[in-house]
Amino acid sequence: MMNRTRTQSERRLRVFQIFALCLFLVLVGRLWQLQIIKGEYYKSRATANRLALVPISAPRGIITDRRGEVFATSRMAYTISVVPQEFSDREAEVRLLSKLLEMPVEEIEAKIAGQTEGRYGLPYMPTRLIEDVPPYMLVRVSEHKVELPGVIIEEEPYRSYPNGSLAGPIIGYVGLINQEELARLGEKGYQSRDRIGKSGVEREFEEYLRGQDGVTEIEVDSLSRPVATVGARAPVAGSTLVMTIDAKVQQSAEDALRSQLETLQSGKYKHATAGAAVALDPRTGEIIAMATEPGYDPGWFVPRISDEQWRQVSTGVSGLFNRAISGAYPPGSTFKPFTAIAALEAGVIDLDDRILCSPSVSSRYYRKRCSIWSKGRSHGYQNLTEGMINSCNIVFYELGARLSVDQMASAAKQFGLSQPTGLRFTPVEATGAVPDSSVRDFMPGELASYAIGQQVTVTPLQMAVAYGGIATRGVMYKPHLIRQVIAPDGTVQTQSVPEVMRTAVLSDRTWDYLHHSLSEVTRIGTASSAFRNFGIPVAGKTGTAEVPPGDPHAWFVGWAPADDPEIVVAVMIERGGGGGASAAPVARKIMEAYFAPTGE
Amino acid sequence: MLIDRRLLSNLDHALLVAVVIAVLFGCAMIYSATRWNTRLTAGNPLLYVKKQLAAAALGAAASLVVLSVDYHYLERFAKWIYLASLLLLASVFVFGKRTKGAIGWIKIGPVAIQPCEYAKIGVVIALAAYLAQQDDLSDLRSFIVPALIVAAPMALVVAQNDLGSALVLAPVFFAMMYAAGADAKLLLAIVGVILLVIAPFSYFFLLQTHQQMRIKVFFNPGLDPRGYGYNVMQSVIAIGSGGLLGKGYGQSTQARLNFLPEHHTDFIFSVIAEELGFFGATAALAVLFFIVHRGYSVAQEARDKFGALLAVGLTSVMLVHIFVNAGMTMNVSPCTGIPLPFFSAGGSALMAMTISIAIVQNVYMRRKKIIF
Repeated sequence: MMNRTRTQSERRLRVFQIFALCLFLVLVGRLWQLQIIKGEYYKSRATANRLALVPISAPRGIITDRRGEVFATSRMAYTISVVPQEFSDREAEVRLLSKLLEMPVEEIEAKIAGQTEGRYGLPYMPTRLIEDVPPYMLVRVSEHKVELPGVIIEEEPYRSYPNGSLAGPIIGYVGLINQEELARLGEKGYQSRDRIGKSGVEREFEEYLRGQDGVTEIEVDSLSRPVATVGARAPVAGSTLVMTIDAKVQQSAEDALRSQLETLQSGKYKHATAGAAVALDPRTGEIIAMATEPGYDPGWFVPRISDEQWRQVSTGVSGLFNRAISGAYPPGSTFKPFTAIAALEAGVIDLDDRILCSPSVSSRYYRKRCSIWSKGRSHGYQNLTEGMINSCNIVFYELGARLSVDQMASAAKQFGLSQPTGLRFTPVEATGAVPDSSVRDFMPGELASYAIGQQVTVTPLQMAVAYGGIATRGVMYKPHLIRQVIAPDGTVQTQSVPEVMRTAVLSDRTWDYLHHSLSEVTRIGTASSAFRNFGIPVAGKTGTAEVPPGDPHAWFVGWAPADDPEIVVAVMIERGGGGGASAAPVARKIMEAYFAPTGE
Repeated sequence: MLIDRRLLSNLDHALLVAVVIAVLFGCAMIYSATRWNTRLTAGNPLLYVKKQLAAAALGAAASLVVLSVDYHYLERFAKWIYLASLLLLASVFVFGKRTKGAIGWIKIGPVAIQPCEYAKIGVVIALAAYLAQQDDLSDLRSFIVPALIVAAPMALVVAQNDLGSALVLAPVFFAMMYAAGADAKLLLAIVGVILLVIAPFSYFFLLQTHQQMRIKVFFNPGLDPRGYGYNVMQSVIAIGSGGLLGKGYGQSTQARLNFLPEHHTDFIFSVIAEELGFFGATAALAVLFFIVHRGYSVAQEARDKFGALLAVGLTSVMLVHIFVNAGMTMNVSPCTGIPLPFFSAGGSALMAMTISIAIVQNVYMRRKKIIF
């Protein structure tokens, strides 16, 4: 009996040893699982705990004109933020801040409260109180730095536009990224605090302009108090964009357009409040100047546009609407060269044929009139060259009667009308419309007005490209705004080369006719007074597009020198009246600026 | 009352060495876990190490006293020791200090002591003394008295709102009953009833919300990562991020940056695992389990039943502490405020453990009849 108990007790005590060994193995097994099998995972969790990554915004790339004149750059702006965990005497510091920043205590507390809910593991993120503080405030806060341990001054590049509104609508503007853009571009590393190009070159060439944000790795403790800076990656600035724009020509285009609008408004044309001008090099497609009135100063959007300014640019005659690219207008008589091309190529008229312009023939053209009749005169017998020089409607009504709508439409389309010019820009250009028989049937009366450009719509840019095609005898280059992209290290990242967008093939006789008659327009025709004593021969055409019930749109499109084209200019003034009187003088000023000696 | 030299030479030296290693290892980790925390150490990085060493010295002195007295005196005075333990526990209600919801401390001068750490020893002594007298533990009736011996102090500790410490006594009770020869099937049945009936019942009807949350979080640490689950989750991250070799002594990030709470006391094991990796943590566990192994060996070699039960009981207290604490840091057991024996900073726990070891050594020393 005694012996039995003894052995049972010994056996039971051995069970304890085994049981303890099992527990030991359980614990070691769990250690193995956590440290060896899942070690890497927990290492990353520990790192995520430890490090707060504070981004450093990279400055956007610079935008210059063709000569290096800076249109958009970055300046350092200062933001005053607080790290609430760092306050030593929160109440006193907030009170002092409130005085220094001229901001109510409640507002500061509300901003802080917005970021400090919950108990553990708050992300390290300073609360931004005032962005882009004025220098005097910055100095005041800096002076009290010792008393404000919880306050930090952050540096951040802000967009700045030294030339103000000059070329504003080309440059475009920058704003805080929105939800839709974030969803679309999130994988490119954009974050909700980023600014992004919203319009113009800023938007279209965002990929080059955007820099690479840097980051500061800050070690934080469990209450998100920064302990030390453990690493940093410097930001890389965006690339520099060298535009094809010539600041001098751009300036004169905007000045000429604006002053012409003011003159017209104070005179006969009260509603002439908007217009556009495009100047490009027909040999390359480089856009030398592009003006649209009214415009805007991209600086208004930094850091964000005020409600009042937004109302101003976005309502009524909106400055955000780029008329040179997005506006489709009836071209009026500037369309006549295309009608002439259709007629000559189709052989429906000889250069010697004469057509009578007289009120007596009005009945043959559906009671339509020539514009000169209102002055009590008429053109009499005109050949096609004279018809072009004098912009005689009767001559072109006659062509409209002899041609089909498809013949006129295809001549226009050969020069790119109704199609995109291929310009890279945001927003995407308008294409206008050149309807033909596939769209609808045209009555004979409509064909007559088709022939004088009243049935189609075009953009000023399209007209510049199309006339460039006439100037070069058929080669049309893709218009572009960017010459070069230069990386931050100075190397050329992208160099644009002239790219032929389309070609028009016409007989030499037709080309000769066009060059001759359009040159005569500025010498003795409808644009002669505008180009008197200009010195350089100009070829071009005026247009007065009827848009009843208001005043007509004024057009001039032409190139210079007439025999060796370097620049083609299209000017359009909404409700500006006659093209020769209103639009051609603007074109002349642009050409003058272009041909003026540079002085360098 | 001097201790005979020959008696000293009969000490379990391996056990002694293991305890010394554990305490020194613990001090090194406490230093690593507290030296940078000026709010904790008030500018004296060695503050906690000094406190710990002082407690160890006091414990050693107390151990000498314990060793000089034949453990059979404990059997003779078991009733008084038990009564004193209950009084000590009850005194908390009069002099007690509340920390983190539990009142488990009494302050005597500058020293705060935790009666429940000492009371556990008293309970083991009383239970061992009682069970040593029992030959027949084969029916339920024979369980009543031993159960009451344990239940009374447990009730007092529960009343102090320290459920975790109270529950430590339950497995110790079963261990001692088993060692004393209680009917194994009956024991198993009781454990079964407790786990399947009483535990769920208590969970739903007796536990307070915060205690329920501890249990819930044990099963799903992600449940409340910023609240109840925070400690365990950060501890698991600390341990896991240590990897095979650890981040290096003094290189913890989880502890240094305060993500890991209570890093020098309840979560000292997490610091070991984070800084010294799998090898270091396994080494710490190996030392502790070696102590446990020696404790049970002493029980096997004890001269009589009382000695064996004493060794089983005290060793089991240690084992439960080790498993519950280390387990808690790895989410193997629920989160309670039970310290890791010899490692966690804390004077009362260290002294109580040292005294327990001294009693075990006492049993070992007197395992054979000593011939003068």
